[in-house]
Amino acid sequence: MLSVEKYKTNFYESLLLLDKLKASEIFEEFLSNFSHPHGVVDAIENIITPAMEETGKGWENDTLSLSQVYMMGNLCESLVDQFLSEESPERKDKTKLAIAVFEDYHLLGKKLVYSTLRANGFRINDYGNGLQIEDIIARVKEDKPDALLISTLMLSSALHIKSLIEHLPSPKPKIIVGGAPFLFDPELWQDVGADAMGSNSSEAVSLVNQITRGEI
Amino acid sequence: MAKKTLTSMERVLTTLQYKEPDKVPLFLLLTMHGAKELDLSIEEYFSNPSYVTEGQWRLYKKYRNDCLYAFYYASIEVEPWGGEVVYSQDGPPNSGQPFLTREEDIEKIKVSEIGNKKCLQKVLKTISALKQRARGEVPVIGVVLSPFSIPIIQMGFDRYLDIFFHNPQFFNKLMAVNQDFCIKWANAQVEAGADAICYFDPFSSTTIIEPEKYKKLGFPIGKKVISDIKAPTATHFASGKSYRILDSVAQTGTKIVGVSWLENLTMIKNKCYKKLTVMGNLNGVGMRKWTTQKAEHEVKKAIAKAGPGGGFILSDNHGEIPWFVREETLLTIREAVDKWGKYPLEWI
Repeated sequence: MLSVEKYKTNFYESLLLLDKLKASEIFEEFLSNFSHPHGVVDAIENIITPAMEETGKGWENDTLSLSQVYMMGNLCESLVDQFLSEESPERKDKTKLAIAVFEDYHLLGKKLVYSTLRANGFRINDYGNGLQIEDIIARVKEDKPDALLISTLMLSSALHIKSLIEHLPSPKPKIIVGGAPFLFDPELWQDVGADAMGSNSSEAVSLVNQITRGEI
Repeated sequence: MAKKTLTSMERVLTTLQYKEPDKVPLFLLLTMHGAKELDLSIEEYFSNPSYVTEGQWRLYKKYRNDCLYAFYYASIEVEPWGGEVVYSQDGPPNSGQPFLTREEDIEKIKVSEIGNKKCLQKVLKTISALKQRARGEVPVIGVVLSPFSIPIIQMGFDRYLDIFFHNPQFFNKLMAVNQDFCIKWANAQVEAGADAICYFDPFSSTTIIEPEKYKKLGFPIGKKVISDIKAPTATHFASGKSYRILDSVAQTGTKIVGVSWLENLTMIKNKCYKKLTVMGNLNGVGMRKWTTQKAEHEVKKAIAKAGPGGGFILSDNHGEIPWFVREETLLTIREAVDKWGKYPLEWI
């Protein structure tokens, strides 16, 4: 039987090749060989989470492109969906999450983060794209998320987040922002009053975990 | 000894030959700021070619810019086919819901001629009017989106990536139609008076796809389109990284490359020298908060890295300076180029 490390390596290599079949085989084999009390969630944390962290590092150090990270995230998300239904009690929902694209229709960033969180077993409510302040406020009032992840592409939209946060009903959800403008101005997230900024999709997972632990 | 003052056109042409002109050319790629000059909303401003002409002219005079930039906004290229344009009070008109969802939809975006597309005509009128005013002394820059990158707004980034990776038939069909449009649209701008065409190709940047994919797909498309455009081109990656593909970019026949603030300008200049003129790489997003000291420092730094020997145009790294960048900052950039950009750069 292969070691956990070897499974991790093999899984990541299959992801790099976007070989869904191979990735699925490795995941299933790992599941049957290492049957833990919380089988799927353990397998996710042993195999998929490290792979997604690796893709995040690859994006940071320029060895992976955004399109690769996106396709790999998608593949992991669909794999997890096969084993962990949306309704499964094993889905991580201690922190109630929501995600939205603010003011525009460039939804790649949101999909990257959404897929990565779901691939890590989280349940997350997708509010959609092209949303204006009033749309998000209405959704937050109804849904009462603990954390709201907001993606933007344009600088103007990023700056409008300040007004959105000011108008959110109390208790306000924790706000995590991401998108190109925040990469070009590392202090912008603080300027708009967000609680955190994710510079890549796997960072979003770690930020959500920090919120769950009360560290943000 | 101080060099003779050149016209903007002479300055740019000299740097393109990897020679040092009188000073570093400055391309302040301003679009929406024209609306501020005319005290119009952004939507009103782009509704009338005479507004954009006047706006560009005032910006050119105010900042002694070395180009006239006839770019309206990216989504104007999908507007004739029902692509939605969403206006903002303080940002560039953005693309709305993607309109191309199925392979069959490709038929609908085939174009026989540019002449009957009203929104594109506005751009052509602006170019003609600017050309007349420029009298050959300032280059007029037209803009096209590359066939390889425009699907991001035609069909949405995620859907495009799906066909890019998994549906070569759909991809090839779309590229053929987009390529045809891009060449026609670029040459219509050249005929109207554009001296050069900026070929925006962010999808080819290594930020978005790996270099191997670019070499296999983006490069041949770029090479074909650029060779068919009847004017010199500048390939711009709109803030995306390009260092690892610069050798291939040079082989497309393009003359200038627009580079990212995220990359090392010295390394880029060294790699491009005598192959590509480097344009960049001031951080437009960061510029919003620059003090006058910071603006001068950033200009000085970029000139020190890429100015020597010519082959350099100072510009922002995105191809469009954000609305929020203040006049004071732009004037400081201008003055800093006058102060630190005079050749020979003896202070370095």
